Amino acid sequence: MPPAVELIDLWWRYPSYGGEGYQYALRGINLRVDEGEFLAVVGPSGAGKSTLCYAMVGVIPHMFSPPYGEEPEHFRGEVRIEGETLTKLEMVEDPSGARRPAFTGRKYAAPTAGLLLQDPENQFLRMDLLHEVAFGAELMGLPEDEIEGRAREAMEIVGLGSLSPIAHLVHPSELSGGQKQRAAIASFLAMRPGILILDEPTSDLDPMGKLEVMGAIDRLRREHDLTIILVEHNPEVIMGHADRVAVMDRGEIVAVGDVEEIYSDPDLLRGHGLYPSDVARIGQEAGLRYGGRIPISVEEGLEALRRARPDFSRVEPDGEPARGEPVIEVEGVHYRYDDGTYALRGVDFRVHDGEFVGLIGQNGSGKTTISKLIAGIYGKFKGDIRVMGASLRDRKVAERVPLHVGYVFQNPDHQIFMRRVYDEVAYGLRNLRLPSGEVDARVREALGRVGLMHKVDEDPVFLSRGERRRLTVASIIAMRPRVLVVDEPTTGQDFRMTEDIMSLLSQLNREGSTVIVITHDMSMVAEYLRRVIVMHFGVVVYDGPTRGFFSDEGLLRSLSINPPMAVKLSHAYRRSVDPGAPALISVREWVAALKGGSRASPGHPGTAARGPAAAGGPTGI
Amino acid sequence: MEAGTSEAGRRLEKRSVRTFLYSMRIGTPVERLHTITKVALILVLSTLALHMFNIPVEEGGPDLVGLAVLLLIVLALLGAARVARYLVTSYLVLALPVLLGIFVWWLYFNRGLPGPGMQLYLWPGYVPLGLSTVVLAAALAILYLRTRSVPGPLAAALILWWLSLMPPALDESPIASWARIPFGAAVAVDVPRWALVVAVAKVLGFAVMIYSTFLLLLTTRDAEVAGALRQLGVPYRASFYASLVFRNLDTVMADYTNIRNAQVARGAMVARSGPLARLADLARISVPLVASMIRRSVEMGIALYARGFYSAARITEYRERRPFTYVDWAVVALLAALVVFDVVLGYRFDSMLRLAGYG
Repeated sequence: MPPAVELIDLWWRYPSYGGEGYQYALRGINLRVDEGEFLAVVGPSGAGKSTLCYAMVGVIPHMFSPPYGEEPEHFRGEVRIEGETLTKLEMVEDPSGARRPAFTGRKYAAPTAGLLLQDPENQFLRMDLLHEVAFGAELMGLPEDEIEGRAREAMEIVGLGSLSPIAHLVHPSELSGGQKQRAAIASFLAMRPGILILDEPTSDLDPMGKLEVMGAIDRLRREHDLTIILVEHNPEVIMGHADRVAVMDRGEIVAVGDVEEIYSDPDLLRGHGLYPSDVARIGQEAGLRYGGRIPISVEEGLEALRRARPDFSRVEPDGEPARGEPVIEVEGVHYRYDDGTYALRGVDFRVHDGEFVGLIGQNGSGKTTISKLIAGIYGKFKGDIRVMGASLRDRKVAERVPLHVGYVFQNPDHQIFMRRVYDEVAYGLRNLRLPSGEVDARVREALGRVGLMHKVDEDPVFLSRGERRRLTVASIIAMRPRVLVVDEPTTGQDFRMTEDIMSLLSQLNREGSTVIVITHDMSMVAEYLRRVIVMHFGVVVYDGPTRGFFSDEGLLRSLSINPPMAVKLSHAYRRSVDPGAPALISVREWVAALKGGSRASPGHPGTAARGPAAAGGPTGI
Repeated sequence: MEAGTSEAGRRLEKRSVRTFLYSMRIGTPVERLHTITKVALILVLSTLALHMFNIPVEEGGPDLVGLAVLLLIVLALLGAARVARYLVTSYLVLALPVLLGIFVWWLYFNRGLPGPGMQLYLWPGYVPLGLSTVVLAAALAILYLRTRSVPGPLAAALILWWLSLMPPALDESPIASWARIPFGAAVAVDVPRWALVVAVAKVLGFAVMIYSTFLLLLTTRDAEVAGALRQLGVPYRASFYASLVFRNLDTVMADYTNIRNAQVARGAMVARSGPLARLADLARISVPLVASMIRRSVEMGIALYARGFYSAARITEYRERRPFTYVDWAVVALLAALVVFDVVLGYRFDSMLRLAGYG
């Protein structure tokens, strides 16, 4: 049987229009994916993962086509799907009899292979669910009855069957992120492909959406025997689903192997800016072994723990939470969008000076809405919000609230609008009508804090995604707000960028800023935040210590929150080894319990925090 | 934005459906209107409006009653589709300054018209205490209660009040004017009487064009446009692209809102800056907005490629074409009647209601 996908010495360089041209994005890729296999592709930002996906469906080189005659400088090698050449560069004879390079092969992978992109919004091409799912089948020229049947069946398979009767009336904006991605999967299923390529399909989704999409993919694998190629960051997802893993960095495949082989080598992963699993980190730093290697899953970790003797007294208990003056007081807040949707149904909480708080919950739970109300971005609500004692019901207070509450938006590309790094940071300060000397001093200080001083005269367009993220933080902290609200700081960021932004926020918090982080990243919550406010359908359902939240298995289940592996390990340990053990929530705490030495305290990432510098070799137990 | 996402799955009964702009109620007669009918409606009503407001003074001048009838037809259809409130909440606000500009332009820069002149006051030389003042105070109070803001409503109310002072006759009846407090010197301009009629006619005519276009945007979806273009013989890919452009209006609007919110979060409202600074802010939005549109269009291109859009040899149309129904024929008959009445027979709607003195 021919392999489902085969890449043979594949090189690719994006065409540039002017300038020196780009580096090769793919460098001599050799990869073979067998039929029915589930291959995960991992790698840091800019490794070439998306480019690899594009090459597998023919988008590269046919959509980003190189200039006529320059094809060999941009593309080399061959891409084959199901034994057939998709793209190959060969010398052919043109009508005049001259020989010139030209692309040969079937050019389009559809309908044999489908490609799912990260952003669910941009791949919805129609205005209703039914037409969206049917679109691929329409393009295949199938009879109308068959299109109808296939579309309904595809919706069933991905769990959208309940929407089928009204699918012709459902607009994409009415679907959740998870539903949109499942609709996108269904739109390929209606074409009955053999191969599905998924480029970070869950990274923009909330925990529920991630579960839904991975559930749908599992079902495809199990019941429909599809070949799956998945680009993903999360080790737990990969370990739970994939057969093999390919590690990419700088356009090359640096390692391919079984999941166990790759994930039991945390140094390999860290060396390429990738996350090892929580259990692998605990295993490596505390010297746990499972079958002669580092354990990687919760089950393996638990087995290894049975032989170790954790000393929980070494884990420092939670100290008293910081309780300065209340800086934000939210009382009985209701809010309704213009379209009549109730976003908030009576929200109450307080945030005190100097706190580092997580605001979590599924999409639609109201966490972004309440944050935007606090930051004065939305107006008109019922109830009361006081910022440093002043009520936002007073319009004048609400207008000036951005001086006190800084809001860093999720997507840096939506909040950078000046043409120079300096001006970007100065924009808010000039709105405050500060004297130019003060503006200059604050801009330089803020850029120094985020390590961008050397780019002060650059156009933000030329900064990397991580740098743009830091620039957005700088432009807010220059305004010296008492409270910093940061929306999804780690979404779509690789391991290094996440480290970078979270240590910056921790540092700001230590220096006195109150920080509220809106996030779906539970590992980050467990490692950095002492307190969480959990929202569900417009109300607060939990407000207290992070440890308490992660200890409550029933609550986590009812909210469909997938806790970090360190927490799952703790639950498993308490269930099957020692019911009296305390709930541990982070890698650092587990390492402290197993290894002793530095006492870990939640909320203050110490030297044992994740990061290449913290990686000690296995010591054996 | 998180609005209403997670609940969609559980709400199986849908009362409204998203259109190019906002949404419309399901089951109204306008929802069943064919796109071709709606486009014909825009074209016929706009052509009639153009004709009616361009009738030369020598031939009786613009047909104000006819224009008002056209506008009423459009407003009635918007009302029937239950989308009129979107116009009131947003587009009316945008359209009003445009219509006001048209009014002032045609009033003051149309001096060459024949016939008697009249004086219009730019300032009457006194502050009247009377009906106009009551209207001013009431408008201000209502707008303030709705918006909780002073500058906008005050400006709007003052403009309305100023307009009401312009014709000299309006403020002279004992009911309309109880007392006059002298203030400043009177400033008046002479305009031909016909200029007022022409200005009103232009405002009504352009309102017909603007609001009939909104009717199309507020009540149409992509598949309908693609289907209609196919029925007219446009190739599939061209008709699909045309519908794709409209499908993206809402993502552009969402991006715009996000970027504007980011400016607000950085004190754009604190500055209380003048119109020039606001314009500069608006111009700044265009940079990330265009960048985002380019990124989206590249990704959509990739999504189209992956579905086989560019390689498809034979494409099936699936639930796109819709039949012409009795509602369409009723609208077409109405349009035909209007054309026959106005163009073929050359009748005027105001022939029976000709305003005294203007005939």
